[in-house]
This record gives sequence, structure tokens and C-alpha cells, in this order.
Amino acid sequence: MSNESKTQADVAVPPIAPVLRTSGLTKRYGKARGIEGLDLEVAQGEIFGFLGPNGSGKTTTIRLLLDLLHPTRGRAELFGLDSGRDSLAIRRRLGYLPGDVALYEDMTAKELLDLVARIRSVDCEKNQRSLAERLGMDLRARIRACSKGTKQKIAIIQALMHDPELLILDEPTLGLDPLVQREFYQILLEQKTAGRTVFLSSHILTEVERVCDRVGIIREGRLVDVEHVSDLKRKKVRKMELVLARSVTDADVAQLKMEGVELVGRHGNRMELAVHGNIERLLSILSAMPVEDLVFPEATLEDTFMEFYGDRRKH
Amino acid sequence: MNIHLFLASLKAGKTGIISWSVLIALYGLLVMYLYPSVKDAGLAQYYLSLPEPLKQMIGVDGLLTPEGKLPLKFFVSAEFLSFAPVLVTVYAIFSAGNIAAKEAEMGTLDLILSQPIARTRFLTSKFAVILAGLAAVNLGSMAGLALGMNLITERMSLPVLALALLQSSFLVLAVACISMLFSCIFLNPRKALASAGVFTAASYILNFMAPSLGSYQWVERLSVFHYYRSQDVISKGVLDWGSALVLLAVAAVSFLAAVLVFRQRDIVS
Repeated sequence: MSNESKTQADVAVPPIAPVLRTSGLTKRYGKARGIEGLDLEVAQGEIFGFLGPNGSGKTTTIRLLLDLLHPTRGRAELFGLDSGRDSLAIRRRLGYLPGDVALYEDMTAKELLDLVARIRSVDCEKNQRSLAERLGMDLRARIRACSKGTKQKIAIIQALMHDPELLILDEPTLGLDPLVQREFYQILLEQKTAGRTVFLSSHILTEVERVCDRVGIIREGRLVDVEHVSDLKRKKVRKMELVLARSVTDADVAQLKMEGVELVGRHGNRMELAVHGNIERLLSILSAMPVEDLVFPEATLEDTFMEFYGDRRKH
Repeated sequence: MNIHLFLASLKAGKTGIISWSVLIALYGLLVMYLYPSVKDAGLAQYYLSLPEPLKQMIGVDGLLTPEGKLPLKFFVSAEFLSFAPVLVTVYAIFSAGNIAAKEAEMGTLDLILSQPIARTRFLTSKFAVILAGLAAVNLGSMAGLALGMNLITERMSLPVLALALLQSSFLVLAVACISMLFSCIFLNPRKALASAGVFTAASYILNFMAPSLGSYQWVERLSVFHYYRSQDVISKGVLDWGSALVLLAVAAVSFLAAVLVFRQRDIVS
């Protein structure tokens, strides 16, 4: 099967009716591209990452699921219900965190959360307090005076406080400090344990690796792949910069020739490598070399895309 | 309508509503306060000398006595009922023009429409706030005029005044619904307010100019201001149901169109 035609059907999905399913979902803005022919399934109890660079169509997809946008073609179903026709029934059962959080600035956090709870006709008092405590925020704060991170926390609480069956989160950790991010990931894993489903869009590879079961990769409006996170980790490309105590020799280069390691550049005592997969063997070789410095940053989505998905359309 | 969204929106808009109500009440008070000092100053002759379109606009016919005396009800009609509703339409344009457009621009529309609330309910809840605002402004008008009447010796019928204000509400309601339609079409406050403002101003000018257009005078029927007949209510003492129904029909059609447009509209981030 060619890469182009690989769909979610190729990656095992739990044998439960999908909570979320799109078929041929397409959105065009006049002549501009939105998304094209998106086929996706997310099973109950799954944390599904929707990964793609900025402008790839993640937010458009989410807005179609929420009936904020109407599809040009195709359809989306949530809980087996049509995203357009049954939107109200669907929204009763989901929680949504927008990518660009905007709240009523004149309200306090508590007033806003109470308004949302009343619109939903549910008592969320206990969950509100518990989530606020876990995320470290004071609900009495007036939203106008809140930082971007605090507004993000308020938006997270409103998405979670009514115990939705499905969480749709658009870039959820934007603006959160690392400690709060960690707590947020923990909350997501608890949601999964409770049998709830999470659909999370992100452009941060490590974020989806950390919490997701499967990942859908979208680029230029098209779903290019659906992977288990373990497969994605294998594909992940990281750049490594090595500084030796002496000039790099041909013997050094020969030593580093192995599967999953590619020499990208060599200047004096410096080498730049592209590494994917397991680094255990590479590290054992490096330990025998006079390494003065080593820079090995997190893999970027862009690098992984360029390596595996960047030129797919040319194949 | 969603009562919780209505109450939250009413709370958010209360400063504007109170300000407009107080402003209009002060205007009513001022008109009453000024009446004794101008009633014998030859103002009646001035009104009679105005060009025909202006006389029609302020409703000279049937209010000025043949001797050219200036009764209180004419002065209120000319100086309050000719201008106050125009001011209130400005309030209507700003409130209704922003109804969905401002929330779309701020991004709060995403937050609300991701909750289990239908778009129609969102609009009706927000529009109910405008209706509450109009009621408050009318109460302000009534309070200002009634309070002002206590400062002078002349009297006019308060029930008739209330009917005239009700008649003016139909005009404001029509303008509000048209502004809401523009708000839903554009989902952009600047475009919505500009369109609603241009439409209302053009409508006002058309009605003002039409009497001087000879055989084309019929175009005045295209203006919502043509159906504004509060002065007639003052002179006849009863509602002008014909004009009221036209304005209510314009309001209803615009409201329904706004709902249909908003339901079909993509909410783009």
C-alpha cells in the first residue's frame, strides 16, 4: 500500500464504535484550501493527537467537528450523530478548548465558569474547585487582569468541569508553564482512565508523544498518516551536534555510519548528525570518542515532517 | 432564549443602558423645562415658516392652532419626539450591530457556541438585552418628560405620551433588527456598524427629501422613517396601527433573516 493511500484503517483501532468519525470531510474557503477529504476515526477511551504545523488545517477540522464551520463536502459524526444536524446534542457531551482563548473580560473566572455551568444546566461547583486547585488558580480573579496562561487555565476548567465524554482540545498547553503542563497531562491521562476520549491538536511532537495513543498527521489540509505513538517515536528525527576535542577524521565518520544515523555536516572539530530511532548504539560509539560537547535537542515537528512527510507528494 | 446568557449579557450592557436612559431622561426634562420660556416667543410662527419637508417631519399639521399658539403637546412633538428616537436608533445600531459581530471579533462566540446553546437562542438572548435596553430608554423618556411636567403649569396627556413613545419604539425596533441582520451577515463590527449606519442615515435623508421630489415622492415609502408617526399619535391620541404594522413587519423579516443567516454562517476564527 502506498503512503498516500494509508489511512487510519491501517493502524489498529480498538474494536469499539468510534466516538468521532469523519468521512471525506472537506472545507474550502473560496479558492483557499482548508482541509481536503479527511477520513478519521477516534475510538472511545483513546487520546488521539492531531499533529501538524501551523496552518495545516487542525483548527479547521476542529471547528467543523463543533459545527462552527459547515463542511463543503463530506461529513463528521460524533457519538454516531451528525456534527451539523445533531450539533446541540453533541455539544452537551463534549468539552472544547479553543486554540485562541477568548473570554468575557469583564467577568471574574468564577462568573464565567458559573455562566457556562448554567448554560449546560449542570452543577460543576466541585469540579471547578478541584480543577482550579490542581491548576493553581484563583477563581476570583477578574479575567481582564489575568495573564495568557491564567486565561488558558480558565478555558481548560470550562472544558473539563462538566465531565464531558469527549474532549476536543486545540493546542491546549499554549501559555502554560511547565509545572502546570505536567499537571494538565496528568489530568488527560485520568480522563483516559475514566474511559473518556480526547482529541488533541498540537504542533508539538513531544506533547503528543507524551499523552497520546495514536496520532493523525495533517499537512496542507490532508491527512498524511495515522500512527501509533510508538511508530512515530521510531520515525522521529533529531539533530545532534557533536564537538570533538580534535578535528573530525574520516575514521570518525566511518564509525558513525549506521542505520538511523546520517551525517548532515562536518566542519573542523564539529559534526552534525540526523538521528532517528534508538540512540543506544550511537551513544556507545560516542563514549569512545573524545567528545567535548554534545547538543541533542528535542525533535522538531518540522524536521520529522521534512524527513518523512515533506516530499511525500513527490513520490 | 437562554435566560442565563440574557442575564449575563444584561449585566455586561447595563452601563450603556443606564447611560442612554439617563441621557434621554435629561433631554425630556430639558424640553419641558424650556417650554414656558419659548411658548410666547413667536416660535409657532417659526415652525409655520419652515419648509414643507421639515414641517411634515415634526408634524406641524393638527398641532398648531390657527392663531399660531404653541401648545405643549406640539412643542414636545417637535423638540422631543422628532429627535429622541433618532438618538435612540444610534443606540439600537450600536447594540444590535455588535450583537454577533463583536463576539465573533473578540473570539467569545467560539466559547459560547461550543456550549449546548443553539445559534437562534444565542441571538434571541442577546436581542432580548436590546429590547430591555429600549424599554429602559422609553422609561427614561417617560420619566424625564413626566418629571419635567411637574416643573411647569401646562399639562399634556401622559397615556398619549406613552403611546407616542411606544410608536417610536417600532421604528427603533426595525432599525435594531436591520442592524442585527448586518451584524450576522458580516460578523465584523466595523462593517456591520458602517452598513447599518449608512442604511439608517440614507433612510432618514430619503424621507426628508422625498416631499421635494415631486412625482417621485413615493420613494418615501421605502424609508423606515416614513412610518414613524409619533407626532400623529400626539395629535390624534391613538396608535397609528398601519405604520406600526409596517415597521413591525420590517423588524420581523429582518430578525428572521438575521437568524437564518447566522445559522448558516461559518464562524471563522
